[in-house]
Amino acid sequence: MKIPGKKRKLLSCIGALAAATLLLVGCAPGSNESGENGESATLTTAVVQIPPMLDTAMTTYTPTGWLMRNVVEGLVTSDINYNVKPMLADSWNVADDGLSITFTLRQDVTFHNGDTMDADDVVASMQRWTELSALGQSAIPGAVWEATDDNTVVVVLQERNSVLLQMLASGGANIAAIYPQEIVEEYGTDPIDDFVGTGPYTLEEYKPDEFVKLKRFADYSNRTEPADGLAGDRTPTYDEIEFLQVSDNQTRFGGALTGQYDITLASPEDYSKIQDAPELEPILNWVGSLYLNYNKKEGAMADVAVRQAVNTAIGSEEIMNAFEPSPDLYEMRPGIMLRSQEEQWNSDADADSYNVNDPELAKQMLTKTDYANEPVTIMAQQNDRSAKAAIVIQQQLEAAGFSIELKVVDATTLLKQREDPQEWDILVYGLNSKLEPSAMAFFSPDFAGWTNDPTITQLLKDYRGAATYDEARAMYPQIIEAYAEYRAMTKVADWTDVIAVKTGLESAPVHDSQIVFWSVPLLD
Amino acid sequence: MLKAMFSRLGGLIVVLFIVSIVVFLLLYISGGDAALALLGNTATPEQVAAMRSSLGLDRPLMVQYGDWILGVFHGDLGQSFYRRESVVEVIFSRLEPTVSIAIVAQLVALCIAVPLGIASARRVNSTLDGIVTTYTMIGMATPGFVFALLLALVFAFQLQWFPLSGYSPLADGVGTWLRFIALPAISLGVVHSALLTRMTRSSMLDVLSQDFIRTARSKGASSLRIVYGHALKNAAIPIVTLVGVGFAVLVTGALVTETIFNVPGLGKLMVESIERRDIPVIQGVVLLATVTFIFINFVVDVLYLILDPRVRQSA
Amino acid sequence: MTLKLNPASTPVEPRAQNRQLTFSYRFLRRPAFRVGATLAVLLLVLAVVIPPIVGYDPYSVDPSVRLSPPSFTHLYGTDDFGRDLFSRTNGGFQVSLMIGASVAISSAILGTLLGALAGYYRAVDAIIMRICDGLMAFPGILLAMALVASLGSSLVNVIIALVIVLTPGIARLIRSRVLAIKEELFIEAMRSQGASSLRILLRHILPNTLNVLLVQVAYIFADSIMVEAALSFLGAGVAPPTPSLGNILYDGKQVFLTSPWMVIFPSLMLIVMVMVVNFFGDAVREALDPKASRRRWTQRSKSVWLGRFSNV
Repeated sequence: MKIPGKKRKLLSCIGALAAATLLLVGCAPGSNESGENGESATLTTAVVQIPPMLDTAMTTYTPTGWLMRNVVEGLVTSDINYNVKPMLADSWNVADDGLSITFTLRQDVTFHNGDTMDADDVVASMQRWTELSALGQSAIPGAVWEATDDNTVVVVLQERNSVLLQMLASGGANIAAIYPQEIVEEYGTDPIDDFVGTGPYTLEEYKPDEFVKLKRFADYSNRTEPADGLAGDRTPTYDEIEFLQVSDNQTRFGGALTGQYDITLASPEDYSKIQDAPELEPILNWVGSLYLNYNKKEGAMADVAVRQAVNTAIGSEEIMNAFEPSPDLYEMRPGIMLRSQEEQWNSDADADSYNVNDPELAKQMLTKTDYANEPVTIMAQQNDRSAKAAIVIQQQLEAAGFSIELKVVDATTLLKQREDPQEWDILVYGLNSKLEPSAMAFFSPDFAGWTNDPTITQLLKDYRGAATYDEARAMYPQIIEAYAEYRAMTKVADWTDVIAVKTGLESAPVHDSQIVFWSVPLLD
Repeated sequence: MLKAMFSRLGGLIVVLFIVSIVVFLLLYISGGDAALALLGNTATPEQVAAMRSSLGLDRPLMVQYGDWILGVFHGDLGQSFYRRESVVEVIFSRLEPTVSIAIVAQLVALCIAVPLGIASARRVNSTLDGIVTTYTMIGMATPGFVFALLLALVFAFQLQWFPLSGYSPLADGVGTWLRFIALPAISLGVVHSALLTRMTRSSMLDVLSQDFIRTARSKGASSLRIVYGHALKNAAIPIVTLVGVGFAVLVTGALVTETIFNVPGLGKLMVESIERRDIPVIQGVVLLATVTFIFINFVVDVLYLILDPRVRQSA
Repeated sequence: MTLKLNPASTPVEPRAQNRQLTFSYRFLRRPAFRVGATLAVLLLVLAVVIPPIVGYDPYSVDPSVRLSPPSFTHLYGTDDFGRDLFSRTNGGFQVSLMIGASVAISSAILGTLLGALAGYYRAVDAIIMRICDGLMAFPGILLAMALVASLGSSLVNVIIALVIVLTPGIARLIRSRVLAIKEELFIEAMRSQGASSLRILLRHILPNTLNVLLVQVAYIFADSIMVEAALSFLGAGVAPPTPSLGNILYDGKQVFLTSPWMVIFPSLMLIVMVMVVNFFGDAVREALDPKASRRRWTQRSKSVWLGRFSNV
């Protein structure tokens, strides 16, 4: 006997669900459009993470840099060939003894709050940057900034730094941003929360872990030179830029494929799919290189001969091939700077010891050392390409006679364990490129790896103390030679990040490790 | 009876203390701390030390814990290390998506489970029953995230009927809100419905076979009356239990679905906070989840009492 | 018409000689057991017998064939390293099996110990139960994640974390059984005859908890497999290159939209594995107390089901 009541209940449930589904599908607003009619053009960018701190002086996080360089600006910046170009300073003059630099500031630069920039703002901001930022501390410790008049600022250094301007021009980590004096005084050593800058965009809304919204600054004081890298004209094309955090790779890439985002930071795995998809184009962003970082303080790797043996066993091709879906995404070249920086920094002093790929020779070299088959710990970050590289590196080193223990840990644990020389012997890690070699993290004796070589120390001192920038540059080959002899690190290869953009946006310029967002063309 | 319940409640407060201590200790034992997560990977040791100090991480453990507990009694859950906002604010701002999905998922589960459970109980060992049983066995063995991925692949990516990621608040329109939570809620709801169906079926079976049902039937009561009047009321007890448990399960399932569909809810907050050792947030969310769970159990216990005189008698 | 007022579910019998025989007989005849057994055999053949014949190594990397779809050479396709997915899935199956078994056995032993102590000796009851309540009030997977984050993501630590999370459920169950059994008259009789507490506990009480325990063990086995998968999926479980069904899914998630086989096959294996264990659990439960199990649903539902994770 039928039970109409029960059946009715079942049917009504199904009916309700079906109706709801139809309703939802019918209400579909379609994919996110980016203002083609020129009314208010919004650029939607999906990123891996919205940084927790946007104060570029306090954090070394590169995403903070390339996000905030749309909002804040520094005294100088770099062009496409990494030459230093004016930004908020029109010109500068290095004293003969190199112990002071005089900056002539631009006039009539407007802050986002309407104030005009003057020397006091610069002095306050730069003093804070010098004291608080890692780059400031390593570049010009103890430096003092002074205003000599309304438009002139002098920095008095304790030691020469021939590459200071290169450091100040950084558009990535530790941007030396200029804020109004009141803001600097208000926040002091606390992270700044009120981002009043001079850049082409204002910070409209910021929710850590979710999004950042930028809005065109109507009264932006533009430079007149043509746009070149990060220098010159910065007239923004889009009225608004939204950065959305989408931490899951597939969800982010799926959003790119379904047209939800205009620009998407993708992962190398998606490269061929981007190439195949008619509505997407790839942009390659050369961010840095993959390195083997040696623990030179304690353990098996403290012996340079053992390091050289490891170096000899490493075959870059096999490693990169294991996880990079295409040779477009990496480049095997010696040295510690990128190809795009070749005009400034070029040397093949370590070409012979790069990508040697000779496990037999490595084995022989190893027998001549004191290495007694104790387990060597390779550490890598979970969920990162370096972990994949580490698996292959393990195999290569085992073929050369090493006994290897692979330790893969999450990002936060890695940062902590990295500081403890008992936790690892080799760290497989990607390092971001810098604008000049001495800024590379591994040259600092404090940085995990603990480089401690008198030759290198002296060379870097001379390099920084060189009379001119060009003289400093000429020392690059020597630095590389010393680096190779000491075997501070072993580079595997330079690598790229992959950015998926909607077709029509592929001419967006890339410089200093990220897209130059104010110059992204409009979609038509 | 009431006395027993209140004493149990008291015991549960002790439990909460224990839970909070456990979380606190665990995360401090683990490697890595919030200061490093904030400062990026080339910060100097001095910077890290300064940040740790400003976050209060350099104080002894007991002091840190004591400070936090005192704050809890004032309704202050501390400040998130990562976001430098009050934990209460952070949790509040991420509450809506998770609760929305949980409620809709529970509704979906009930809509599927109750009719199916009743239908298969009434037709034991028939083809329908076989199908339903297979469905429950597969459903109970399927991890929530597998089903969620499948739905994402088919309905969001290939058919593009639903967005792949994000959330739209209820205040911005019911239609859009439903569109964004549809897939996460359906995936959680369908997976949970397997267990619920099984429960409904067995409790209906159990009740239908009992003496008093036979008596009612022999007295000539119609099947409809039997099902709804007597059986369902008695079968309701375990169902109510499961709805209670279900909320806990759904909030747990939120962890994976929110990660897959990029919903800014509590689940995703938890995963991110654990990664970053943002201890105040973790403690706050765990406290909230535990309190909710305990509260729901309490409500279930009360409903138990009301619905089942036998339990009342034996207590 | 009388309703049973005593909530104790299983009538407690003194140990009968032919009890085992009856149990096995009933167990083997269950359709649930038969389906479960068939699936189990199929799984074992697939995952343990075939791989040595086919001969692929779950660890060997071959980037030239990375992410290739299923074919005759690679039955399930390859993963992002070019490793054969068939052998990796089977490797993961074995690891998950090991995790499930270790957790089930460990938590059974530990839980029984704790539950028996709590049920029999009132002094420790309060302490043990409070701790168990504490651990159980905590959303399970969060506790597991936090534990693995503290201890590190090795296989052993994942097992430890799961044992810590799942033991309290068993402890509570055993405790309530022990409490119920204690009230039974024949225990009183034995005590008055001078039997020691320990002897009573071991010879009479514990064997009568076995039925409940066995069922729970089966469910814990299934649950730990699923929770390990969820943990690894969230990145907090077994670390590579050791394959586990969860971490294959984790890697597969990264390329899911474009190479779905990396998610489909381990998922299928996971689902079938858990189904098989559930079938066995059901068969055991039905075989042991066909009548009483029904009664259990209405009265003991909460404690039985709270011991489970259910789906994650």
